[in-house]
Amino acid sequence: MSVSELSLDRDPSSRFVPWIVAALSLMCAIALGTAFALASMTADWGRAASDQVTLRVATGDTDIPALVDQVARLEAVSRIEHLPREQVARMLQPWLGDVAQVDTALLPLPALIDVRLKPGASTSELRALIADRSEITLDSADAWLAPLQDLAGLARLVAWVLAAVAVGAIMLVTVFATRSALVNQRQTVDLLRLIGAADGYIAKRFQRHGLRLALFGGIAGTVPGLIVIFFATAAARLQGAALLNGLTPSVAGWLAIAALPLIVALVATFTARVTVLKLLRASW
Amino acid sequence: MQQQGTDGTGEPLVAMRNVGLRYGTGPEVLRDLDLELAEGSFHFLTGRSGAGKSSLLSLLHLSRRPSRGLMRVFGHDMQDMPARDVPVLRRRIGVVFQDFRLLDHLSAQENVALPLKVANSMDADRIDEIVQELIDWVGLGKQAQARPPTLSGGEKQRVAIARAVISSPRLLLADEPTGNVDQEMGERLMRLFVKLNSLGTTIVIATHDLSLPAQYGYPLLHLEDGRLSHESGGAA
Repeated sequence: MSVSELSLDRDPSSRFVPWIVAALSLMCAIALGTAFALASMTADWGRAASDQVTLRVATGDTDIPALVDQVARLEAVSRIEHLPREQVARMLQPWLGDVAQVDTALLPLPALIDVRLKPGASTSELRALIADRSEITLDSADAWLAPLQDLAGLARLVAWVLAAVAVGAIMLVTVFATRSALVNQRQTVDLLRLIGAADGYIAKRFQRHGLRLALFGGIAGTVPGLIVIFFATAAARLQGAALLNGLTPSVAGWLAIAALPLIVALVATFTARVTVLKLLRASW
Repeated sequence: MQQQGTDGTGEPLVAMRNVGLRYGTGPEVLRDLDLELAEGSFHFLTGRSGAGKSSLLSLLHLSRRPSRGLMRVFGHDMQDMPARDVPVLRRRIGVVFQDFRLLDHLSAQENVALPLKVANSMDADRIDEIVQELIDWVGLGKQAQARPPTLSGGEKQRVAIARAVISSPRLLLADEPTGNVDQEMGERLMRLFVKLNSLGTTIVIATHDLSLPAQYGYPLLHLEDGRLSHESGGAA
């Protein structure tokens, strides 16, 4: 016998469930996409900030080649470059205008030394080296990236909360739809129990129904969600700001979002089962 | 009348001692019931509308627990029976409802197969074989694929009986099984019950038609204002 005893497919309480689940899945997918993209971007920032520092040497009689030589010998340093004076001057272009028109020799420009550290290496050696040399300052991107990272972290948290709210709403929709379906199918459910159906047998029918509805809704919401995330992050990266270069979910992030219909279906299945068993166990 | 059981252990199939039933906080609809149903017995249950016949049947088919008193079914105390163990006992009880309670979206054959399907104790081919045999036995071979809305009252009743007996229940309960069919069909159905009883099934038939007990001569359980009295059967 292949026909189900419970005609749940024709149950009016289930009619809108896939579309509500689809809307919530879309919201969840976009929230997860935002969270994963921000995570990738801030990880990028962290990598860039942690292995690159600049030594700024005030004008004076410091022996720059000797200093470069000293720094290059440190264990933590993988690469070092003394920036040419013209390149330093070009950094002032936003304030001075075309530096080609300015006699940079007259400017009290500091010497800048870019230091690339080995992955995971600390700046402590470098800081110790310049500790008693007040004319040398160590600039790290950490200082100005920290507030941005905090902000991105907050945005990520909000995105996770939104995703959790969407999943919670899917559970609530499933609970209400299951309860309504159980009320509508009460006579059939009573009959099944009378002829010896265990509660688990009845719950399984509602589980399968919940799984089908949620899987359909999950796919209908997640696919457009993936498209929105792809184009939105690509558009942000096209703005040209170097800070946004890493704004795209990682491969694992994309896979996690693509798995959303399965997660939604499992949540709905579990919720439908628990709801039915709880209601059935309330009566003998 | 209290027949002694033949449950192998001498214990009745169903035993009630001082049983009462109330719905919610309302008054008792069944009071101080003492009842024993021996295996293989046949009883008629009579009483006016509202006397408590359906309530007593609901206790017997384990839809409700007694509000008080002791009730043993197939040797198990119902007072302490956990809900998860009840379905197994229900599979040993067949019920024929006055309103048939067939599922309209399933064929007659699928309706009859339901108890075997929920018991999940045999494969689909074996179920089909047994269902076909039983459908033929109740004379519905040609209507096996018909859906209940296209069947007559008598045909629906026979589908309901086939569904009630397919899992070879030890106890068969029928609520007004002849109430919705004409006299000829009623007699055919009664012959079916007698045949089932002769094969060992314990039967309780609730009816308001007092001519049935008189005609068949089986013992009578009579309910009046929620109280049960026992009468021996008349001449068949």
